[in-house]
Amino acid sequence: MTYRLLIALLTAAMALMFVVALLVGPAKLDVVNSLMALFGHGNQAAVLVMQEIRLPRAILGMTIGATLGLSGAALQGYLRNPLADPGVLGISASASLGAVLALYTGLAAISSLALPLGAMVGAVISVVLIQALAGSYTGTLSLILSGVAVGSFASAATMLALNLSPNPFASLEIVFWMLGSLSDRSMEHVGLAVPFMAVGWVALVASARGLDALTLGGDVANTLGANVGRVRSLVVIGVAVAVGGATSVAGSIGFVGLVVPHILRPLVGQWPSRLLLASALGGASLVLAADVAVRMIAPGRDIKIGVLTALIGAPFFVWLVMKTRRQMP
Amino acid sequence: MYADAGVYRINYGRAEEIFLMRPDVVLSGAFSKPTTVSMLRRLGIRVELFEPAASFAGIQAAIVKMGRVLGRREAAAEVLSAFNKEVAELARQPALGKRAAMYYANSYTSGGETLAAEIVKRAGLENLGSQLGFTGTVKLPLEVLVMGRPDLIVGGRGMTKAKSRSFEIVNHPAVRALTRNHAALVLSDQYWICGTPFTLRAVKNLAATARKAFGEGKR
Repeated sequence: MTYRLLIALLTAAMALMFVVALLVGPAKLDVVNSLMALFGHGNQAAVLVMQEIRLPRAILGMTIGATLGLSGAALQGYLRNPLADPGVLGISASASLGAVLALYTGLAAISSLALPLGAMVGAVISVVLIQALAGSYTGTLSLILSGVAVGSFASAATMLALNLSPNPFASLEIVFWMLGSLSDRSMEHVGLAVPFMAVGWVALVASARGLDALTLGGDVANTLGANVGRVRSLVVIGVAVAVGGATSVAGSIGFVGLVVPHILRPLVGQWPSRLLLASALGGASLVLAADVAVRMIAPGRDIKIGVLTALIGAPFFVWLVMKTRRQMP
Repeated sequence: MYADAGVYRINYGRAEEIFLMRPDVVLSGAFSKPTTVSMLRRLGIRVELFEPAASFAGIQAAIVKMGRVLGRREAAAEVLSAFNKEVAELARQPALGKRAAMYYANSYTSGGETLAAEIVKRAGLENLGSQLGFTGTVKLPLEVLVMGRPDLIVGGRGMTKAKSRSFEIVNHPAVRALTRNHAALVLSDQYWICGTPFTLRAVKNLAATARKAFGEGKR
């Protein structure tokens, strides 16, 4: 399959899932009425449902999925490690912690920007910490262990913060921050998160050439003229800003960044740069599909989307670990 | 009322501290920890459990039971007859024929067989949750709330100033659009939560707000 064909197919899949996501929901609206309401025609309640409830949900599903797929692909390329993923490495959990601290201390009430900024700071700290713990180019094991340590700490701190909150509802929200959800998000959340994610995407795409050079090893990449330090900054900042934005409005949705690049890697060849765009499109399709599934399986019950991605992702992760172990000397 | 409550000693529902108070009788909610209740009973303390009232009948039964437990049946009978008198007065008000929707933190709503539904009914309104066939306190998807076209939304108010995601939902643009266009917004308060004679205040406040919003008995 040529690269162009693959990208065209993935784009079509994403567009299809976007439309399906707009058409599925607990309010019983038929296809024609839904699409008319989307453009402001038809009865007022239907217009509200389409424009204020389903459209922001679908936009967030698409952009957050793209962010997770892209971040996973970039991290795997940069760390040259197939198990790298914002969820597995605890970056999403740390972003959650940052967002939780911003929200429950009341900072987010002063300025709504505090929420994504808090999540971003959490994400940056975790990436830097994982690198410091694992070293730049050491094996899989130390990287995963560092990720587990950082992730567990961030999750525990998040739960502690929520349990200590004087608001009785706060401890119920642990589930949201741990598993993520797209339900009842609004255009305000889109406006808050998408600019951050877009900045992150630009940084990650800018790292593409450097990632290709890095496949040959840090030293060779340097002699090839790639600035390894610059690639590193682009990946760290790109992942942190994008995942921070995504997590601050939807919680941490796991495993997307792990699964998608793996499925697509054999199809694009071994170039990390080609994998970036493909993973972004694939991640968007996967999260949109998962969000549709969540609403079809149990309409109105608000199953967290992270439950579904984990059900797909966790067995995949086990398989990947076993495969990696077999390849190890 | 909170000043009067200040003279009572607070306990945190632990068997040890309650035993040390040497009470003659312990009044407890049916949802208290069963291990604590059974331990107190083993220690020879009389424990009376009260079900949270989910209806006016439940409130009436609780008043009678409280009188019996405390040995003050006459006082209870007085409270009960005053309560029944007010209920009868409320029943004489004309129904408004408007539809109210409960919408609390985390998008929960009250369907049938809940105290909130009874409050809405006694205030002369229809409850969207009951009309949709829900019973108990359940999740109401935002889409379904919007499609239900409520005339009045009873929103939850945070019990503390501490921030929480749960209450964001009441500020969702779709809910704001509903209230901007036609629906009145009422915030529930302490009178809504537990079934007591004070529940009548919730009914009166709601009925007064609805009358003001929609005009006296007009359809």
